[in-house]
Amino acid sequence: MSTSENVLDVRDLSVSFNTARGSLRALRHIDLKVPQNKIVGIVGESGCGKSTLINSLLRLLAPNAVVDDNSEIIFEGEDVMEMGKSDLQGLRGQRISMIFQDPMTALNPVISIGAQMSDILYRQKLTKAQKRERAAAMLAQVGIPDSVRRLDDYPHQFSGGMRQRICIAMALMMNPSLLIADEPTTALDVTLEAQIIHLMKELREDFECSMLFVSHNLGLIAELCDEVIVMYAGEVVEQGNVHDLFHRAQHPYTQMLLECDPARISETRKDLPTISGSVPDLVDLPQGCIFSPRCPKRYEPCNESPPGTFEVGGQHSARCFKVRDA
Amino acid sequence: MPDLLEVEHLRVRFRTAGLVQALLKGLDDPFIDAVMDVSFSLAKGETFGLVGESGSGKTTLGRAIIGLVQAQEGSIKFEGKELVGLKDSQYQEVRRNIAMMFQDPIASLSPRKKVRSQIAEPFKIHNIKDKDPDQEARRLLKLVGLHEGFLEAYPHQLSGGQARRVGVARALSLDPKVIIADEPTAGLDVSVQGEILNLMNRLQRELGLSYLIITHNLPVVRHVSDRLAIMYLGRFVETGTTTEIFEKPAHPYTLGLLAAVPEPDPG
Repeated sequence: MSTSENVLDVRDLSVSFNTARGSLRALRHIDLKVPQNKIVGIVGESGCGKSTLINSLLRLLAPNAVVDDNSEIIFEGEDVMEMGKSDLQGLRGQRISMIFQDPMTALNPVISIGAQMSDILYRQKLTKAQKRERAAAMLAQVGIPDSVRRLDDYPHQFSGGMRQRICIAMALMMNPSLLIADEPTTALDVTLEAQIIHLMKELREDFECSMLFVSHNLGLIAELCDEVIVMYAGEVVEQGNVHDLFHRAQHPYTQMLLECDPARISETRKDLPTISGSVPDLVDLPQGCIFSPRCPKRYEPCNESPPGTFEVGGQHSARCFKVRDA
Repeated sequence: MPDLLEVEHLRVRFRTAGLVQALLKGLDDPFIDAVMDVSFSLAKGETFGLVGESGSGKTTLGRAIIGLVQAQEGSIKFEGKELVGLKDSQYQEVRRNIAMMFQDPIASLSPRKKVRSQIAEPFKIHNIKDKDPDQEARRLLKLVGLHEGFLEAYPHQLSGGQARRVGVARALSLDPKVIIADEPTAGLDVSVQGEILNLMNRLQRELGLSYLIITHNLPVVRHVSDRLAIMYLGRFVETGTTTEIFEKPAHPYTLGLLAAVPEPDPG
């Protein structure tokens, strides 16, 4: 696959934070590609580095973050790591935009929806009326009825699902090449969640934009994404297309994650499977594989050195010695 | 033997406009029914799941049972004793037997108190002198699977799962018979959800607790509840055993809810 087909191509991204206890290695050797017009899902539990990854894409890391020199973040052929301040401002919210987790707090409560939406277009040479028109059209597109009149309403006058629709409309105002959705439905009910996912599928057709969809809900990932990467404690432990991942998971962590999901357990049972142990301390990493302390399938090589990425076949790969030795 | 908790024809209303405003606007009924004609019972050692979306009144129902909001009509009987109409001071005794675990594990703990005081606080509130709160805190932490080091931790130092465990420990502090758990797994990672549910199941077996679980997460209630009620706009639209509801849902709303759960299989 050549680079031109990938909207985003992250190579060997490593990020650490300087802390009082020493260097906390939040991300290690992340490789990630988002092909044109595809939805890539990122699955991982709290503390796996999802947020650090997203923030590094937008260069919004905290001041104590250190990005490794080898890291490359190629977005539409340009290296984000080399960008200057004004380029970055053109990137954030314009070429890459984001939908946040909580639609209740993502909107400003004291500014009308119409004004918030027009504000996004501040760089465009349009009259106020034209901007309002754009905003209304966008609202209509995400399924908000009576959109022209509702421009003057404030966030509290909308329900949760409606607010998330507004956030999606705002994210699409600038016609971004990449949309990052960070758990966009966790704050919503199941029926609303289904509606939002349906909306996102529709919008993908209409806007031809690529998407990075972060979630720990495996059901949503299966429903929406084309490709999936699984993260654990700052590493990509497995990646592949959605079918490979759900049907032929290779990494023990992915397998266990799938086993744990209550929605995948069809017979009713009172004792649910869990992943025993806890996420390792990222200041003091284990010598071998990052998952080995919790892995039921570990054997000698796992304790000696961290495994590289081994191909399972095609685009499917996993960071596990079992794959190499299979 | 009567059930531990019996709720009959319960109705909770909230005022939507003041007297003057209602008169000015010509509203003859300035109330909204948050819970309407709800009846169910909970036996010892049983788990009852209350499923509904935001605004369905499930949390209000839970709060009405422990007297945090007032019921307008109907009856709530705990061990045969009527709770509706009790004064707040009389409710104190009830709240020793019915404990509540609130939504959001971290926000439901005081950010300025150490875990030790969070767990020991109920002893102070209920003025219990015959037990050593410190020793109790240690015992409870052990019961929920946390080591003693956590006694000195503040809530912001806890992960979601650990905070939830502290919440469970606090709910257990006064040896309640019923625990009302409002969204016990919301916001937790998938593997941690399992841990919390297993913990709640173990405690139920060991201590003979009854649970009222309030949630909108259908896959989760399926594995923990014996019986379910589906709630919509303040009313029970369907009740039955968990198996019945999952295998033969009757109400269109239940069907809709079940259909909305994303299938974790790309096909």
